[in-house]
This record gives sequence, structure tokens and C-alpha cells, in this order.
Amino acid sequence: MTHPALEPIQSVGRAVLALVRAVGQGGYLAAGAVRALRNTDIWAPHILTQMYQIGVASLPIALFVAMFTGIVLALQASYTLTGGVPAYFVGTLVGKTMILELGPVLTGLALAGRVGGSIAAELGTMRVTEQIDALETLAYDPLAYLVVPRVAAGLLMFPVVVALAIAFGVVAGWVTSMGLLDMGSAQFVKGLKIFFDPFDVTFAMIKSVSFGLIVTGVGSFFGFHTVGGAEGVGRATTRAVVVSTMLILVLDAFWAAVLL
Amino acid sequence: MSIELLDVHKAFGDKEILKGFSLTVEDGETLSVIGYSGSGKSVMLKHIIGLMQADRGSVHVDGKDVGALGGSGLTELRRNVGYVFQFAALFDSMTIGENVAMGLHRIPDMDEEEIEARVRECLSLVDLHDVCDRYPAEMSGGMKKRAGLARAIATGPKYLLYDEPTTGLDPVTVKVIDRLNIRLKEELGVTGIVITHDMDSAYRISDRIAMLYEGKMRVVGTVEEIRNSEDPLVRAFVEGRPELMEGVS
Amino acid sequence: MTPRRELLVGSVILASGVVGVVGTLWLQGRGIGRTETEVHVLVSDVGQLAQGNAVKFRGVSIGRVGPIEVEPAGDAVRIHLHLVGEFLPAPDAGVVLAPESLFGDWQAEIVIRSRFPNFAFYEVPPNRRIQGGVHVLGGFTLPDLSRLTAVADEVAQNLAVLTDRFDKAFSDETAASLAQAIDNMEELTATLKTVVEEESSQISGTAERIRIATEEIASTLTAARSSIDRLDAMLASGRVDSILDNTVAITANFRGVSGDVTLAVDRLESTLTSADSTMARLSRIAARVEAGEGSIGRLLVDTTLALRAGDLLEQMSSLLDDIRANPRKYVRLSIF
Ligand SMILES: Nc1ncnc2c1ncn2[C@@H]1O[C@H](COP(=O)(O)OP(=O)(O)OP(=O)(O)O)[C@@H](O)[C@H]1O
Ligand SMILES: [Mg+2]
Repeated sequence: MTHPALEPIQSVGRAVLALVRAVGQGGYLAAGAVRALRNTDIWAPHILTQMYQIGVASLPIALFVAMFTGIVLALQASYTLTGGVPAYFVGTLVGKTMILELGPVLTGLALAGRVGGSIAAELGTMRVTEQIDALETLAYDPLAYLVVPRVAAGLLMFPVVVALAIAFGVVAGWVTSMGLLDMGSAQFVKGLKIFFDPFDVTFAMIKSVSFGLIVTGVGSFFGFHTVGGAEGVGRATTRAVVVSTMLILVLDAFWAAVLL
Repeated sequence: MSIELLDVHKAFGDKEILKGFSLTVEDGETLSVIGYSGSGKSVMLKHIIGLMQADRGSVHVDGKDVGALGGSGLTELRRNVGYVFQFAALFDSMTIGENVAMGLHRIPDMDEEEIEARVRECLSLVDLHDVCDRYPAEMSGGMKKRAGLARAIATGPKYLLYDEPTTGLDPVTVKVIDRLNIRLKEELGVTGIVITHDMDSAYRISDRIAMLYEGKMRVVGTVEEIRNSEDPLVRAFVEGRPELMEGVS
Repeated sequence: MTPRRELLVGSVILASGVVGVVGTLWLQGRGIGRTETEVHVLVSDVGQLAQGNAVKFRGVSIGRVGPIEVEPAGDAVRIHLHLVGEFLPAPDAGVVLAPESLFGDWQAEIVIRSRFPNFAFYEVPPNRRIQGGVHVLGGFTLPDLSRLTAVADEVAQNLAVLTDRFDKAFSDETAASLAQAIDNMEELTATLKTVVEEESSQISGTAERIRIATEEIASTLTAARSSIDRLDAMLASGRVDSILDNTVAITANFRGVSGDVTLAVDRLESTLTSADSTMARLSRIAARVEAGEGSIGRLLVDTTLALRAGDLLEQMSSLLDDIRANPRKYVRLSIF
């Protein structure tokens, strides 16, 4: 059809069109979900289940990640900060990094896989087996029934999980400093406190709320637009995880640029 | 009121499925739709309940243009229409009882006891007993299909759209379902569209039969008219004799 | 199933809420249910002190700096100190605001004012010493090293101008004007000497002392300059002695010294080396002056000024030696 030399240009055009279409569909889904908020009777009963699934059930992986992050931070801090830099800086480094960056981001990434992937797979399966169509025929707005509770639970529970993960990670770093680094507890705490700014916590919470939105929203988006059977479900899941991972990192940079 | 399809066109990409046909289903009537696999019967049915929108033409149910209905209008329409999915489409995270109760929860003023009673009643209508607490994954294909039918009839809709309700069922159960269809029509005045590949069943339950072929209605007629059709294509399909089709366009 | 989930979801949310609130309060250095005493400090300038900095008493951290606000009249700054537990300040208590570490953190230390006679604590009017049950203390802010540098820069500038004036003033060797110049120089060195003497005899010299010294030098030099201005008016312009060129170099060196003061203690060594070479130059000039070389030298041979200058330089180099030996005595900064 087209000259082979024009193929690269054509593929650029195709990619841009696909992106525009995806953004459009995403916006449409978001607008629909906002409109679906009216149907309280449909989504409210499912909030609890989703809060459990997204929040409570994600705690083990989030805490696991946070624990090892805290340990590694403490060890690497003591390795890096030698000669002249006081030992209590290990506490500063563990605290600041956990609160500002690694707590929210690593939890976000872990939950992108666990929560975003499972939402995409679940909604994708429901889409290809016509369960979403069935919901519609039973006079349920699928956005209200499926998307709203998940996104709302994500917004509510991500900060909760992140807060616990941060605390757990800091404690792990603390214990490591005392146990493995031959450092006094008081020293670690001094370092922790000396540069603490309450805004750091606000910053972490703002970030985790936005990550909650991204992970659940992207998962719902790809699940909702799944086509093509089991393979399609797999594709949707992979895309949901990849895209929300990327968006988390982009958003992380965005918040750092805007708020810090 | 009735169901009216006017010059409906539908294409997926550049693959044209529905090529413009009209069809009217009168109130209280049961119309069977037959046609080759992949001819677009399910697609047609989905237009009636607004799961798909026609590219051209319109679909009217109860005098309302389905394609033009907004969210709440569509919800209103769907309260009056039951849809039996070809592959049941049961919610696999719920028990059969919860599946059947789904539509009932959308009816105001219905308490839990009434819902439970109604669920049992509908399940026994399709000859399912003691399956309320089972999950779809624990049931056979035919059982799922019947549970899907029970879910569709639970809210007592005025219109019922059946996508192959009896395919894959044993002969006895087919008769049970057919009898249920007839009862719904005669006792409750339900208007039905039934997609089926089973001609005996079609003859038993239908007032009229339509055949979808290459995106258009090849024929629409009473049971007698279909039985005595001279059209070789219709006869080939009805009698299951592909050799009759040779040389026909 | 549902009640169990409600319980779990609820307890996780509560746990994170508790962790968040208690953790934040703890890291901020506040406590729940602990008594807290509030003390206010009035001071003319807070330096780099910020909310959250430590409050010390006899070296022990006893609380945190709270809000800092300018008084309505705009003549002072009010600092809220949140102290843990009961705290009753002594009648003679004052607060010194000073750097806690080189990382820019400051602290507020509650002290007995009589121990720091040189510090100009803010004088809180007697009727405002207790306001609404809160004790109001007068504060004093240690000058930042950067301010010291500014003063030193000014001194250096004055020296440069002075050099310029010397250039014009001493070209014509008119006896009357020379006598006046000598008087001025005598005055200047005398002041310098007393200042340096006082400083080297201080046991706990501080950055503040250095500031006072440099300020005095600055004002003396300004006075000297005005005298020479008058002299200048009487004299015609003329040629420059090589010694004056040297003075320009000294000025430049002095600038270098003052700039270096802001650097960390580990660079004090090079600062001192630089100061050393300044001193060496000064001594060399002094020697030449004593030998009666150059126009200034010729002018000064019959005065005691040169001797005094030598004396002064000796004292200054011993002061530098002392700074080298005990930097902490002069640079009141605990790095860590
Ligand atoms: N969502 C869709 N996207 C793309 N193509 C579709 C879609 N739905 C149906 N089709 C295509 O439309 C055609 C008709 O499908 P349909 O399901 O209506 O067939 P059918 O007549 O119901 O067949 P069967 O008797 O086997 O159920 C098929 O070729 C199918 O591939
Ligand atoms: Mg079909």
C-alpha cells in the first residue's frame, strides 16, 4: 500500500493515534466513574471488600518490601557515610529516604503488580466472559459496580499501607543499625529526628493517594477494555502493570518537582 | 408495545456483520431467530438491549430508540428486558443464589426474604434444586445455562431475549425449558426473541421464525410458512441438508 | 466473613493512623500527655534559627523552638520555646541563639546572663517579663560568620582607601602635616594594640569577640581616614612609595583572610598560613620602616610608632598561633 520507506513515519502516526485514543478512552472511563458516584447504592456495599483486598491483603507484600528496604538502606548508609560523617546520619538517611521516596514508591510499585494486575485480570476476565455485559443487562452500571469501589478503596487504603510500610521500614533500619552496625539506638533516633519535617509525611501521603489512583485506575482501564479471550486478559494484565509502573515513576518525579 | 429493528447495519472494522434489515416483534409474540453460526444472531440481540450500537438504522423497544437512550433511560429499559447469555455469563465470584438475586437487588422495596423466595422459585422453574450456595465453577455447562435463564427471568421482565437457551442441554431438560418459555408467554404475556439451532424446539415455542443470512433477514414467517418454504437455502438449514444449497446465492 | 473483614480493615486503618500521628509527633519531638512549658524569647534578630530547632540548657536538649514571629511594633522578634516538663527560668536567665553544627542548624540555649557580660542581650522591659504566665527572656544572637566577613571586608576596603590617601598625603614631606599623620597613626595602633591585647588574654574568645575587634578596627580606621582626609586637602598630589604598594598587597591578603573565615575548621590551617604571610609582610614592612627606608620610614624614624607596630604584630602572630592551637576556643562551632 504505502512505500516501504514511509513505513517508519506511518508507525509513528499509528502510535500517536493509539495514544490519543487511549487517553480519550481513559478520560471517558474517568468521567463515567465520576458520574457513577451518584449510584451510591451500587458501589457502597463493595467498598469494604475492596478495602480489604487492596489494603489489608496487600500489607504482607508491602511490609516485606519495606523491611528489606529499611535493612539495605541502613547497611548501605553506614557503608557510604564513612570518614567525617557522623554515624547518626544513618538514621537521617533511612528516615528521609523511607518517608520521602522509597516507602511510597516501592509500595506503589509492589501494589502495581499485586493490586493493579489483579484488577486488570479480574475485570478482563469479566469482560471476555460477558460478565460485564451481564451486569449491564441487570441494570447495574458496571463503572459504579466495579470501578468506583476499586478506585475509592485504592485512594483510601494506599496511604494507610504506605504509612505502615514506612514505619516498618524505619524500624527495620533501626534494628539493623543496632544489631549489625554497632550503633546506639539513641544515635539512630537523633539522626531520625534532626532533619525531620512534618511536611515530609504530608508529601508521602499525597504521593501515595495519587499512586492509589494510578494503580487502581490503570488496572480498571485495561481490564475494562480487554478484548480477545485468555490471551487478551494476559495482555491487559501485563499492560496494566507496565503502564502503572511507569506512571508511578513519572508521577513521583512530578510531585518532587512541584512540591519540594 | 413491541420490538422494532429498522435498517440495522453493524460492522466490526471492515467486516460487515449486519447489512441492513428490518424486523418487528409484536407484543406477546415469541420469535425464533435461526441462522448459520457466525451470521450475527448474537450481535443482533445485543443491539436490542443496548450492549451494542447500530452503525446505521435504529432499534426501538417500547417505542423508545435504544441507541439514543442515556444512562438512566437505558437502566430503565433494562429493568424490563431479560437477557439470557449464550455462555451463561454467570458472575463467577458469586454463588448461583447471589447471581439470580443480582437483578432483584435493583428492585426497590424488596426485602431479603422475598428475594430469597424468588431466587428459589426461579431456580426450580429451570429445574435446578439445592444449588443456591454453589459457585458457577462447580456446575456443569447445562446447569450454568439454566441458572443464567433463572437470573434473566427473576425480575419478571416484559421482554426476554434468549441466546440459545437450550443448546447443549439433554432432551428432557430442553422440553422443560421450552415449556417454561411457553408458560412465560401465555401466563405473563412475555414477548420473546429466541436464538436457536434446534428446529424442533423452534417449531414448538415460536409464533414466527426468522432466518438471518449474510447480514439480512432471508425469511420471516409463521411456523407453517417456514416448514413449507420453497427457498432451498431455508430448506437446507431447516432440514440440515447442505446439498440443497448448491448453486444457490 | 463481613464482620471479620470490617474488623481487619478497621484495625489496619486505625493502626496506620496511630503510627502516622504518634510517629510524626515523636519525630517532631513532641509528646502526648507530657507537660510542656512555654517560654518566650525577645530578640532583635533571630539569625538562622528556625522552628523545630533544639532548645538547650546546660548542654542538654530540653525542648524545641516553636513559632517565630515579629512583634507587632516591628522592633523585636518573639520566639516560642516549647520545653518538656516543668521549667522555671532563673531571674537572670537569657537566651543565646547560635549555630549548633556546621550544617546550618541553630539552637537556642538558655543561659545565665552574667556569664556572658559581653553579650548585648535584648532588654525586656520589667513589666513584660511575665505575660499571661509565660516567662519572656531577652535573647542575643551570635553573629554569623558571614557577618564577620562583611566587617572584615569593610576593614579591608578602609585599608585600601587609606593606602590611596597615604599615596597622596605623604608625597609632599611637609613637617606639619606629617606630625598630624603620625598622631593619627599612633592613635590607630594604640587602639589596635589594646584590642589585640584584650583579645589574646581572653580565655573563651568567641566569634563575637572577633567581630567586636574587627568592628573597632573598622571604626578606628574610619576615624583615621577622616583625619587623613583633612591632611589630604592641605597637600598636593605626588609619587608613591614602594611600601605603599606593599600595603595594597596586604589589603588584598586581608580580604583573603576574611573570606576564608567562613570556611570550615579543617581549612583553618590554610587560612592561618595565609594570615602568616600577611604577618610576615607586615613585619618586613615594619622592619624597613624601622630602618628608615622609604618616605614613611623616614618620617617615622624618630617616633615610637614603628616599635609599637612591631609589638602589635608580635601580639597578633601569637594570637594566630593560639587560634591554630585551639581553634575551638575562637570558632565556637561544634561540627558534629
Ligand atoms: N465484539 C466483537 N468484535 C468483533 N467482532 C465480533 C464481535 N462480536 C461478534 N463479532 C463477529 O461478528 C460475527 C457474528 O457473531 P455472532 O456472535 O453474532 O454470531 P452468532 O450468529 O451468534 O453465531 P453462533 O450461532 O455461533 O453463536 C462473528 O464473525 C464474530 O466474529
Ligand atoms: Mg451467538
